Amino acid sequence: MVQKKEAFASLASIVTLGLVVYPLFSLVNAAFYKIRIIKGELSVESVAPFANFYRVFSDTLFQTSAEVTIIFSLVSVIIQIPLGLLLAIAVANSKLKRLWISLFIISIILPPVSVALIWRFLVYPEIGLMDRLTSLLGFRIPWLGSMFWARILIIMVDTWHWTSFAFLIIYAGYVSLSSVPFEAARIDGASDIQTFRHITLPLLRPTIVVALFFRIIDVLQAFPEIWELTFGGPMYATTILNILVYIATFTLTDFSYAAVVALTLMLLTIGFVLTFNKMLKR
Amino acid sequence: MNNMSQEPKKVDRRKFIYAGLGAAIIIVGGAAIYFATKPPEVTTITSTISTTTTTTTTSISSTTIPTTTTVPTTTTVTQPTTTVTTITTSVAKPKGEITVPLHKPPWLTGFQSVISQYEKANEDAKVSLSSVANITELRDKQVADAINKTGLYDLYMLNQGMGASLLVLGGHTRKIRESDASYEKDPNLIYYGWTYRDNELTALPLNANNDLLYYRGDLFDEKGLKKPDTWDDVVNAAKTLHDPSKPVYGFIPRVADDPCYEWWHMLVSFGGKVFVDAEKGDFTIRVNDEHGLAATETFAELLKYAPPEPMAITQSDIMAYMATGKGAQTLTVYANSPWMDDPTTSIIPMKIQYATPPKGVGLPNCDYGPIDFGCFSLGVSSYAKNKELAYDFAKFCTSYDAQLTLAMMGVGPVRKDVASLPSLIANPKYRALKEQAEALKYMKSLPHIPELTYIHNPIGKTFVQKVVAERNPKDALNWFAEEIYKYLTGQGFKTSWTPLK
Repeated sequence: MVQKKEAFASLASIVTLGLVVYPLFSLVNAAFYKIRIIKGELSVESVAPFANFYRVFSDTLFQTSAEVTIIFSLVSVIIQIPLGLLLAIAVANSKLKRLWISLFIISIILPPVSVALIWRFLVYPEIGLMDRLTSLLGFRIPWLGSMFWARILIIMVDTWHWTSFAFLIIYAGYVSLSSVPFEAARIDGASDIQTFRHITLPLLRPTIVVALFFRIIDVLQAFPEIWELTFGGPMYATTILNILVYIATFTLTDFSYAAVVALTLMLLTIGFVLTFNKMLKR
Repeated sequence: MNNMSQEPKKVDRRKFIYAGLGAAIIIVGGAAIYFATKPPEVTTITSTISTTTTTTTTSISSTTIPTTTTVPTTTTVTQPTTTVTTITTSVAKPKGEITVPLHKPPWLTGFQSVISQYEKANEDAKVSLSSVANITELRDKQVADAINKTGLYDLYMLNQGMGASLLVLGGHTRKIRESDASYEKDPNLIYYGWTYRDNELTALPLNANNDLLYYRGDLFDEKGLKKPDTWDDVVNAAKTLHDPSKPVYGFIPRVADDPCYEWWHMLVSFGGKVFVDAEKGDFTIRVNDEHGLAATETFAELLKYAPPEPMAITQSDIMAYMATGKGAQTLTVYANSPWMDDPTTSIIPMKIQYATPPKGVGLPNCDYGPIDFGCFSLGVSSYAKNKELAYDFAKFCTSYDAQLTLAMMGVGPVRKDVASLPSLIANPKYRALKEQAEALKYMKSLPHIPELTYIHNPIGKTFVQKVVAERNPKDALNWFAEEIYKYLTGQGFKTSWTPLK
């Protein structure tokens, strides 16, 4: 039995080494050479150490993309987690729990491309429902035509799509809490707000951190919704780092640039993960 | 609100095992039933080459296509009839399977018909289409296949706007003479300049899918407007017909998706160029000179008569605007024309008329502006697994039969004998073909360099979006020139640019 466990552990290690470590090594390697297509042929040139990093970090496209990524991920998560928490508490206290849960699950199970197309139709000028509603109210919002509103749109779409995920995690944590502290608080005369602030939130903290953890990783890797909705535009306004990696690799064919962006994204994600890990342990 | 903590339930492993076994039985049983009841493949073997004869009678007395919307009531038009002649040949046909990548262009159905035609003529051959999401992905996947030499595709779908020069000049397409040492150029065919490497042909033309000016003939007649010949005519018509209350928009631009062809047509129509003389190796950037400014100012002027949020308009949206009667004019590819007359996709059948992309005025070298940016050729991949079959299919696509099939399905043919077929041209259904034949006389090309595809997209696309967003042609052009300069110097070019003041 012990030998079987060791064998499986070794097999898992080999697979991990092959599928994760080797590509990671190639990625880091690519970031220290200049690899791109010149005159239709692949070209690999040696460059000074960190020259690629300097080139990428000083590029305005990367700077814009990094800014968009941080704003998009933080704002999305800041909206989704409290919203998920409120929905979890509301549903837990509702008589139609199963109905609400079933409805909320619909948004999660829809494929990202379908979500993007649905929203594109909703906000499309003149024929989209949202555009028509705002026109009736006397104004129009250029969702797809303005850099500012396109960014708002991708946050809205991500929130619509994934708040239910945060809701499900927090709901599961909430319904598994012991009722003893809540009964004690009720007996002591605590109000709902006091109960929420001093009992519910502290007890739910680990669950909320887990939801935050998953959501931040997912939102940093967002691609299909944004790509199908805005194609990363207008004028790269919604090009987050993940999309920039795609553009750099397949459109600009500057593989070193893409490698640096991918490494940056990876380090950003690791930074968030370590932060949440510390929060969990506290 | 809260549940009491419960003791964890013991898991009954047997239930999982039974569930797994049940799922496995269902899957295996389903597969067995599928394969047992799958109908056998039909193997009718007739080796044929089809020839077509057309008999068309029409009561249209004039040889010119009328611009009115009334369809002649006494017109009798018959479809070409096909006679199949069985011939025997001693030449062994290539067999096997090839893979051709393709996005979802308006001419997809026509191309699929040609594939069926070929497979019927060569029953040992199969042509598989590998579908990609859009034309940019078509470029990206073909380039990835070429650079990595994976041989995923046997034929490359070459389009100058989307990487043809890169694939051809990078040596990723076989020279035609390597596939067929006896190949002689067909005088009936149109060959594109960007399919040459070292003065040798490396791809065979597939379609002539340049832009045409689409305009509402009925609305033009109502307002007494003449067929647009210059961009001034287009702007004037857009101003006259623009009525957002109906809504009818004077001009529908394409901005959101790749590629943004229209501006490039305007550039060449005003005598503009990207470089001073790319063929002679002078890559001094002149896209932001007076010619580029005239083109961009015209484009910006037309944006005043565009639908709200032109930034969101894709090619599909252009077709939708025109087919629903909301667009008065647009510049779009020839292959969109069948949609305008199909009653299932258009509420204004037979009302759209066509014109050669207009010319600029007021500057030297102004001319009509069709460019072969949107046209396609087929090149055999240097890494193809079945080079013989790939070449045979590409050559079949240039045949009279294949080109006639394409033409009848609304795809611009590359054969002059098909494009000028009297029975087709006289048919109102194919009135776009008449304009297409005219446009081919003025066809121009952009510089045949691998870097053009990236100058076009993403740099060019961002430039067009900048014009739409900021409506400042001079600034946008200077930005465009500078970005081209930065890109080309990074690629090792000797180039320079001068800001437009």
